[in-house]
Amino acid sequence: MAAGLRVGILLVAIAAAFAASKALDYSLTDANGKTHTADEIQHYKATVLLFVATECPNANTYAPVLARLYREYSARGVLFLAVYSDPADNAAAVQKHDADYRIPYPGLLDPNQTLARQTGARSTPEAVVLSPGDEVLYRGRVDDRFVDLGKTRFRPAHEDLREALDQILQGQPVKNPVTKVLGCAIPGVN
Amino acid sequence: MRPTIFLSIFGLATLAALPVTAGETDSQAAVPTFNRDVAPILYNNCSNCHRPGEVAPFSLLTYEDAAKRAKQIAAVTQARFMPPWKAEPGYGHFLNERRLTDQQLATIRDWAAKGAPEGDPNQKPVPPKFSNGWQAGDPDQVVAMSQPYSLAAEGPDVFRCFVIPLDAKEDEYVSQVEFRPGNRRVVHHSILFLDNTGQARRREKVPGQGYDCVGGPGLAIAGGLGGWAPGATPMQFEHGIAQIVPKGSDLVMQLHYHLSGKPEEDLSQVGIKFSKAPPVKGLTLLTVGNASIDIPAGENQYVVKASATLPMDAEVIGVFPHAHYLCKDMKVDAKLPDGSVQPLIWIKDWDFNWQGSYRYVSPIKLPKGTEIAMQYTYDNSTANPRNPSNPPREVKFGEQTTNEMAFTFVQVTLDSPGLVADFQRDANAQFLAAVLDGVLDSDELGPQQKTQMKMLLNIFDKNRNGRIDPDERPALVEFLKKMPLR
Repeated sequence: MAAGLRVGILLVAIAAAFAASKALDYSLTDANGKTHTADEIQHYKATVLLFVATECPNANTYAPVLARLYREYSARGVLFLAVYSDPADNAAAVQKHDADYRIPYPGLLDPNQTLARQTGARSTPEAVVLSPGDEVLYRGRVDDRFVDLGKTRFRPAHEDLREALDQILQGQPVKNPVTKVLGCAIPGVN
Repeated sequence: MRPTIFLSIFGLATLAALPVTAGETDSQAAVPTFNRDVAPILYNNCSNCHRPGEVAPFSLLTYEDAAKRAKQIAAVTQARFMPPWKAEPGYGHFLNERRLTDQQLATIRDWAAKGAPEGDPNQKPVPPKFSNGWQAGDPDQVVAMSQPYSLAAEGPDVFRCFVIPLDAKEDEYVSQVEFRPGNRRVVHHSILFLDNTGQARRREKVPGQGYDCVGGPGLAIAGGLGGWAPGATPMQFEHGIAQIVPKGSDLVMQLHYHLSGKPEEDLSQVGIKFSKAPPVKGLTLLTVGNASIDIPAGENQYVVKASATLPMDAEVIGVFPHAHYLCKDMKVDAKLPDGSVQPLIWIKDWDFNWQGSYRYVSPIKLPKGTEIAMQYTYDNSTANPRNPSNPPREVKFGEQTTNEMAFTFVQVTLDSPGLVADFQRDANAQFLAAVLDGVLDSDELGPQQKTQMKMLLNIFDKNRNGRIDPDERPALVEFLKKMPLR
């Protein structure tokens, strides 16, 4: 009971901290050399930053799932950006990876981990959903297929990122704004 | 600001609870470094898989490789998720045990907590040299899938049996087997069977493309050539022991694939070494288990018990426990005629994805009359995330992912090859008697087999409860022993 309350308070505190952190400030190039800045975000109903890594198997497993979410939700005014925050993931590595995994949205190179630090992302694959005014509306997993180290569900019981996007597009608060990610640590940040 | 305050309070509480450490210099000296303390652990236990081109993600060969993932390495080793090793210490002493000691875990944990220091450059160890070819030397025969098998980007795991002719003109004696996964991103494990009946070939509708097989190859097998999971070493028999490959046998290579997120192809290989001289010992299997599995939906503590008796003196050289996704705990003991108990294996957190053959460091001598007893526990509740059905459904014996199994394959050697036929006659009779009442509903049985099984049940099920009870079994076993071997 006490532990539950404490975790509850902590989550509220973390959520409050996210709500307060509005100042995203970055200028990063994607693997094809195009520059992306924080200004881009204000033109979309929501922006999904997908922290991924070329070598993380859990993140790679989601490639087809994320491509479907992209096709569905980019048509409804949502911007999708992958973010590679491991310096080892350079332009050539990301280009090859995104071609291999048929990733349809841009992959931002974040070798200095600017975006990872500004959003507080710690793992891959971690989704951070931003409002046009760069408030963090959702942070966490794509779905709950990975339960624990070595424990995987046959099929996800909750598609958390999809549910969050639906709630955001309906103008509702996100019911579960923070979920646990099981994947790979972003080197140096975690 | 608020989270900072909360974290500070927790931080202070933690600090206050810590004992006061001795002088600064002492604690400095105690900080583990990569060069002196951590590298030897990684090189001996991790780098064989965690290196470029190998099965695991993230190379762990250099300081930079390891330091940037220090906290994750500490977390997965602490949880004993890595290195993957499922057998509990004290229940069998196995070859190739990949289990870190508590001391090694503490070293990695302290190293990560202190910022993963590299340490004295003079102590920098040389990364091990790994062979990129066959680990156990060039084989006498290399066989492979006849064509690449294509896998989709996503979906449920794929279980496929590929049939590969071995072209043996005479019976051959296999002394060593090494499996080499073709595509290390997708191959999760492999089990190698032998078929000398042509059944597997008939099941493969498109030659080279294999057939679906989850629990096993779905046919009577003429033997096995071991298995492979990441980290496994080649199977090598001791001098004088060999797996006989009957002439004309096919290798049935069962492959378990995890899909990777992109379309993939696999072409896996097996390298075999033969012994010219015939074996001086007999090599065979005792299969323990039963098929009377009926797990109610929601049941989280369903126990299956089974046993088989050694018909003659034998030495156990390996054990291969097998169940599907609901099983959580497996314990196998040898109960000797003198009343003593020799534990064979205990797996507390069974994971279908990490099944494999466990081979003993030294053979375990067991006298005739020893009972090999197994107890497996299953969790068919929603609390088991691996449950294939959500909400849970009643689960019975069968080959499919949504069915369950309860088998222990015990690999034994006998004093001479001539004893194998007698051993198998007895072992097969015990096996058939154990599974008889459970397999009658199985789709795997043909109509003729079902009729025969029902006749046997009618004769030996004296109390007409539809089951072969323990007191009814000996008569059935005796009857089956006298039946001609198929």
